Amino acid sequence: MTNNSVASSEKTSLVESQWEERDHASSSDPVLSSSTTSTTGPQIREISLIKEPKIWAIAGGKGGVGKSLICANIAIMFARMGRKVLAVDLDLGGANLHTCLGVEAGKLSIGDWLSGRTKELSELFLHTREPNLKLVTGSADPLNVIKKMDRRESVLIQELRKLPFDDIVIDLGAGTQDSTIEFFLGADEGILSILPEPTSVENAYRFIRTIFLSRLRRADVPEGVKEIIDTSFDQKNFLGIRTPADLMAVVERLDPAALEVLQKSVAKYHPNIIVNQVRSQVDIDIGKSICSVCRRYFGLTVNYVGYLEYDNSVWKAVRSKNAVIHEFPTSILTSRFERITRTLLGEVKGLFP
Amino acid sequence: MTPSDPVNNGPSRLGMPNHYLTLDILPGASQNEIHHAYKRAKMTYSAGSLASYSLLEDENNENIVREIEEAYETLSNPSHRREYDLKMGFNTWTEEQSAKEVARGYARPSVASSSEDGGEEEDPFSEIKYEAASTSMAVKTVGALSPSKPADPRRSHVRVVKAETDDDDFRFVANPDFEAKIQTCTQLDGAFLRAVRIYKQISLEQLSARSKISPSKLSAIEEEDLAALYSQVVYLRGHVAIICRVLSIPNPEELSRKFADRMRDEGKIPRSTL
Repeated sequence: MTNNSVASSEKTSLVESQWEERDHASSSDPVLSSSTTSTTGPQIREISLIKEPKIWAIAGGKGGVGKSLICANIAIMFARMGRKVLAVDLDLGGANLHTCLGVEAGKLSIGDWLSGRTKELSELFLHTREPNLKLVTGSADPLNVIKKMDRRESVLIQELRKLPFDDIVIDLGAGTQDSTIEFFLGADEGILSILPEPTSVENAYRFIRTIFLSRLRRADVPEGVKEIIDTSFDQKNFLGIRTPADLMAVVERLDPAALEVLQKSVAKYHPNIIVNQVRSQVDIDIGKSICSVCRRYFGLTVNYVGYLEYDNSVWKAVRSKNAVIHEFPTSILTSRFERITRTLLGEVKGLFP
Repeated sequence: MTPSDPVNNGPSRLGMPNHYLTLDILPGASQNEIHHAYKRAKMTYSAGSLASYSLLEDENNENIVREIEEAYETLSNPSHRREYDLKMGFNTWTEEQSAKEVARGYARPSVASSSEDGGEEEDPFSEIKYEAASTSMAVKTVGALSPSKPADPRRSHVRVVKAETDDDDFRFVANPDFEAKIQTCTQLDGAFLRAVRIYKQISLEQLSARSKISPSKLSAIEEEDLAALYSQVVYLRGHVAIICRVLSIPNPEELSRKFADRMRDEGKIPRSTL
């Protein structure tokens, strides 16, 4: 490259300006034209080393709510916007993100890295149909094997941040296991998929409750307050703490300064939700209502970033082992995914607040 | 520990609870937005609602619905909302802002709908009968304002009014007796301002469009219910002077000063602290 001779600081600024140029070029480009960046490949690698990737975690509390579907299609959208993307399947035990992306599971999976069989995460990368999108598949190992090898799990987020990507999209499993919560809170943005059904709503609230308490647990407060937070994880605790308001009231009596710290921590956190399988306007409005309930109950500002219609294209795409965007590029869901992705990037306003 | 209301305590104290937060809207929301937010909020917290499933008991929901009803009752009524906004510090229409509105109005073309035959179209006076209209058939044009003064940035809002009224005049049926009363007026009050406005067949909206003063403020002046709206005599005086000009009441400066002073003396607006 020509800028090898210039001083390092100038080099950085030059690289950054190239970054902006590329960014600008891709934003003026229609989303659905892929691989505008193949000609600028080497520059991107350099740029990406300077900029830490943004980590997006997708969870849902319940199984079958469309986590992998959303993860796969958002990742494709990011890639088509000219961003360099890595999709990681952390649904250990129930991995199928590769199927949603239309990729054959390779020989190596995240389980190999977690267990220490492979040294570098980059050895796990699989190519997808999108030139800008790489994939790390979930483990094919049985769950009990994975449980024994979670020693590298705690450093996974830090390791992911070192990778040369713009975005890393993580597909998390169902439930509220510690590791799932850890990844959801460790990510830059958490996205919850919810169906307009009591089962899904109930599990989503359970998930939000767990991330809410876990986030408070991480706040910089005295040990005594942390113990109270730990106690309140159990809904039938001896302190009689049932709701977030109860917890805050107890903390206020014990340590008003700690209450302020906790409130600040809550105020800074904004999880995102997507309502999947909507069939009517009422279903779409459920998302707004959930945000309203979360604000009242948890004091959390939840962003409603979009919804997805109940659509036959999903099962058809799954049957043909392909992503919805690839299989049905003109379907309503493709445009919904585009809208959601733009909302996540702050280019358009969400549905709530 | 007594079981507490998960809604009124704790986390929600982060953003002080208020009617707007109750309906999940911003203080600047339109009446239409308020109405929709109310319908959605009621649905969200109705018994058996999906969105509150597993989190809120019916009892909680009942309390919340009461809050929602209260919020809607206040916000859906413009004058109650105005009072509430001022009490809570959501001053969506402060003196300063309305002055800005005026300044903006100066820069852009007139937004006032033509007032010609406005009375017939909308019939805003159908309920109010006044002698003036029926006694004389002569049609008279209002709008002859006092001669223009040298340009003074502080008076720019006054000039707007003139500029607009000069080429777009109100039409009404003149009554010599009432006309004489206007010309000889030495003391203003809210009722008289309203009487002149109605006599000249000008609706609150039309007057607002001409004067760039909000309808709620105009109606407050006519009702002399000013305590919540004006913190300083000078703003009131300015607005009354503008109204006088639009309504072609002579001596706007003097009359508005007298009016504002009287309001202050009667304790209807607080004494200026400046």
